[in-house]
Amino acid sequence: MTPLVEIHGLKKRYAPKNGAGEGNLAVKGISLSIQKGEIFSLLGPNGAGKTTTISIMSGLIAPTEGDVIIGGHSITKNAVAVKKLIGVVPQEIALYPELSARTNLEFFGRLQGLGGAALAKRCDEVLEFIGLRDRQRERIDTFSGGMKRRVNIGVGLLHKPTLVFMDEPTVGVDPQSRRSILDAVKALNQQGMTVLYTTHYMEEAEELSDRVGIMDHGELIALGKQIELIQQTGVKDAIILKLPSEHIEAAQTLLRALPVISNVEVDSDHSDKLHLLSDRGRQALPHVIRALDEANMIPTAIQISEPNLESVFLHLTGRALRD
Amino acid sequence: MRNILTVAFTQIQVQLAERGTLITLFVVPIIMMIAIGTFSGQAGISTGRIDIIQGGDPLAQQFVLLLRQEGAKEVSGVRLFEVCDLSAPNLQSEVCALDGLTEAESAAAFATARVDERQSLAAVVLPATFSDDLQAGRKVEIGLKVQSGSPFAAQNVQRYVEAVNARISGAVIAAKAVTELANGDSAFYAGVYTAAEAAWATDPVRVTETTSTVTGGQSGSGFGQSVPGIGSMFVLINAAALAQIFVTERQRYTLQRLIMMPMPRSHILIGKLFGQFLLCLGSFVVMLGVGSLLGVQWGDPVALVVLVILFTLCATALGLAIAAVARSASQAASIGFLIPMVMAPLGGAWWPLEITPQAMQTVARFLSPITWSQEAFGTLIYYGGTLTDILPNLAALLIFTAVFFAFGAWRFRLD
Repeated sequence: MTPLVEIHGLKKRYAPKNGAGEGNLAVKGISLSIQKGEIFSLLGPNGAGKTTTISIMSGLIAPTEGDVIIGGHSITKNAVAVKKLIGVVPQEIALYPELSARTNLEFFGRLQGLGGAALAKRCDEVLEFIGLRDRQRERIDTFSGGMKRRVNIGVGLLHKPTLVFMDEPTVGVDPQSRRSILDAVKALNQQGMTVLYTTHYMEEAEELSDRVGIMDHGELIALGKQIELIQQTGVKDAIILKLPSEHIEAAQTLLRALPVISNVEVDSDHSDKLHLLSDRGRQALPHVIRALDEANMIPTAIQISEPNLESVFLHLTGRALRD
Repeated sequence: MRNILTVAFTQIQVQLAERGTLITLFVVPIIMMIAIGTFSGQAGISTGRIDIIQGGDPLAQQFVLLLRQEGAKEVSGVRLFEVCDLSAPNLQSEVCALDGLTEAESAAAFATARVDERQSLAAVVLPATFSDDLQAGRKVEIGLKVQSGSPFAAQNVQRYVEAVNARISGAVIAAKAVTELANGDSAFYAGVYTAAEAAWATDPVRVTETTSTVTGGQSGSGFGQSVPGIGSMFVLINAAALAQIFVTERQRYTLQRLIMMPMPRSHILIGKLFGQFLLCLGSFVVMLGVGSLLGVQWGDPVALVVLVILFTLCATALGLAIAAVARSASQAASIGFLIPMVMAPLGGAWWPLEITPQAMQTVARFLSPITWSQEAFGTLIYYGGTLTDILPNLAALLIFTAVFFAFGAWRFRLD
């Protein structure tokens, strides 16, 4: 099946700020594809190149090298055709604060080719979807941050795009609005829209994504389904045990002998904690408890930490995602 | 075309939603043009006073009468000057404002003080022996004190005084010469003098003064200068706001969102320019409408429409040129204010260009489009000019437009 989005060797070097030397190479030759109907997340810390990538894909800036093909159209050769297929939800609240929510929607709707009764109907639907129909006539500058975010999303959905770009849509919103935005993304995907979602929140990528691309310093350092990424990087489950200090050494020796445990280390900061690594932490846990019980060593606390995208990023870069 | 109009009308809608924009577009310019027009109009049309001190002898009284006749002549519907005879303060008109002249006070000191304080154009002092000296053929000295620093007013007053003096002395000399030739008596002299005076009174040469288009009470009004001048200045200021609009939209990210819409970038730029053009044109039309209410008669309507459209187009192109160089909101605000505030006085928006030095007038023609628009407005308002008469001005405005637009198109980057 032909992918909806194909990115080939995409590079972007910005012009130098003071006019001298080479500008910042924000995207360093990334290639990936996105299938129709999937939610694809670009995960990475601030400054990783996610927004630059989306800006190129949406025709805002030109690539230095490479190309993006969306629905068979090249963004460098036929940007208008690409823009008809996409809806963009930028990270910033890109609305006219002096105008009402409905007037903003109508303005951008007209520019997306809607008009007349179709535009009015679509505005009604979008206002209903973002839950602001009763406040549609109020000026944007009277809205809360969460409400503005919802209108910002609404503008990107007006013309029922095949593909929606959502660039960090939950930045700076309260938990309730965040939940509502994530549910909206899922609902849009269920309606058949393909979603490209960028975030630096690992939990959001985990919850939403069919596939994830992890970016760092302008490079795509990992790509695939969440489970595949974890397996690729070989990150194991961690079992953390808290024991009386006098039992730590004996417990370490005892647990190292268990076949389900690959490594046992004492916590460098807390001498009463042991870190156990296992390929399958949940299955190994009963063996661990039984062995300790037989040796009359009762743990005071047990915690299982399964690998996630944060662990993958940490494994690949040596840094936490929010560093 | 649909996208261009959508961008243009939404930009107008966004700007009109702000109270500050309405104030800059309409309120401030209208207040300024009324204030400046009223001030300059009063300065321009006020009838000056000439104070005269005389001894009450017949020829002196005749002198006052003739000078008063000269002063009563009107130019552009305004009397030239009022003659105030300080020798008979109670018989003078209210314009003379002689309430401050007491009997104890010296009329000469009073007249001198009024000239010094610029309350009267000049003081004329006839000698007490004016009639006797004139009839005896003796040299007569008429005292004339004029305002300092007003050479034109001084020349004019001197001219009128000399004209009256020539008329009286001419009649006296003629009567005296004929009486001597005919060996006539005093009655014969009086008869010849009266005949000579009467002949002179018919004014064998008469100057008929006419003014064009402006009639009646609006003649010489300062609004004909202030309305187009201040109007043009605010059109430049409002067009220059285009730079701030682009900067603000970049900061708000609405410009980037527009670029992401399925239309060519040129549609966004043209839409923005067209929106600002329409807004400036609307404000200019309102200001000219207020000018009409104030009594300004604009002359040839076709020429006026072409002039207003072309000047607004030129201002919009200037807005693009400023947007091309302004990199921040503060730069856009300062450059967008500074340039119109230099162009306006330089081009004669605040005062008639004719009163400025010739060198400045020459420089203004190269630096300020207002120079050309003000001259064209003056041609239409004061001289009844037509489209043909202002063609050079329209051509100059087109050249300014082309230069501003070419620079803007070369340097401006939408993203």
